[in-house]
Amino acid sequence: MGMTDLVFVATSQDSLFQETRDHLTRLGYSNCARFSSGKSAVEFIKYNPARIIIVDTEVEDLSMAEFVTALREVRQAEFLHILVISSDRTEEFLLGVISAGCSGLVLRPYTLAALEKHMLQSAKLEQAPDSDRDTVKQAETMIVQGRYEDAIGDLTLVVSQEDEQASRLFYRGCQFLVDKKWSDAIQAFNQSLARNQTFIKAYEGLAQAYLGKNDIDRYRYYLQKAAEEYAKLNNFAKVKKIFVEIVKYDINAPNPYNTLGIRLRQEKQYKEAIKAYFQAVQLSPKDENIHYNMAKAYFCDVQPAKALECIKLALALSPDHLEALKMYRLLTGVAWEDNPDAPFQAPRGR
Amino acid sequence: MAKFSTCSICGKLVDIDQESHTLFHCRNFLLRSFYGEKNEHRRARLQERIDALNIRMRTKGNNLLDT
Repeated sequence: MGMTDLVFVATSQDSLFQETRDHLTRLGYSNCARFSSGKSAVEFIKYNPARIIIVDTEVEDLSMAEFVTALREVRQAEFLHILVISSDRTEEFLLGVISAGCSGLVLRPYTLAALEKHMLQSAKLEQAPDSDRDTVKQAETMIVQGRYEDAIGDLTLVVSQEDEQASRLFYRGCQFLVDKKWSDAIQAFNQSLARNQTFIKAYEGLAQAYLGKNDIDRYRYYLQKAAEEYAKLNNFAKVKKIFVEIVKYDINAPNPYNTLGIRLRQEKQYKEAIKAYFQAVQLSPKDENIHYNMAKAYFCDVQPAKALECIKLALALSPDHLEALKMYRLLTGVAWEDNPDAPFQAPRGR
Repeated sequence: MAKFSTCSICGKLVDIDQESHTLFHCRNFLLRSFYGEKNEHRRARLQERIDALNIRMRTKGNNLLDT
């Protein structure tokens, strides 16, 4: 029996471990290992492959959300089902563990059937009919066999698809959070994560295959692409954290994506801010302030033509918007009243 | 030593020398208070003040502006 067949249970309470172990035994999972310390568990998982870790109620030295975050950080590109069991039903707790990246949540008191469903979900997540993931796995075998050309052909097909799917799934998860549909949110975030992981594996595979062919330039290029995918993963984690704060505290905000966009723009994450504003505009298409905010994000991202498009939309909705009028003049060099359809004009003296 | 003054429109304590404070800042300040306000009466009162500012600034809605 390999390490990946073990189910790890992290809890500081003996009685809870015994109870969970009994339940797992009844479900056919007879191999359990326990951690009491969150930090020790993270250190172990960092160096040993694991498929499932159950986080039950509390660990000694970390909060639940900190523990889940740390587990995700050490196994970024690997499948790891983190199932949280807790009796805490407060929105604050739930948002905290979802934001941290748990992939399943069981609330006490729970039935054996509920636990079974989540354990099966782990297998489903790993063996989901994802043709891309299968292709990547097969390509990895080809690389080991020295069939570099075949591997490159298959992996190139995987990465040539549009890579915005992870982002779309991520924002779907955010909307489920707003709607307080916790399970749906977790599922959407799981799918988004899986998509990112597939791309990481594919780029790493391409890098290895080109290294095998002694093509160092392309090896470096695909390593860079893999690094970009890791960065996306980190960005999603950061954005999710900020979004959860907004959902938690700004309970009367009509459009949490707008607030998210502002926070991201202020943190100089312009591309992420623009994505958030796209969501915001879908929710409130006739709000001039959101179009203005989007213009500002585009401007900061050095996309003045796009900024001008947005500012024109803002002024079409509210021709007296003072800040929008100022930005229009900045972008075109003329006043809106004089020419409402002026093209972008780079400021003089630059 | 910093000189603070309370804004007569929104009630925010403003550092006069360091902080820019326009009507948009007032609106944002009121909106942020509104977003987190759980008390229904206080929320309604804030909404009235936001609506009055919106009319004055010829804008609408309850979304923040990135100032």
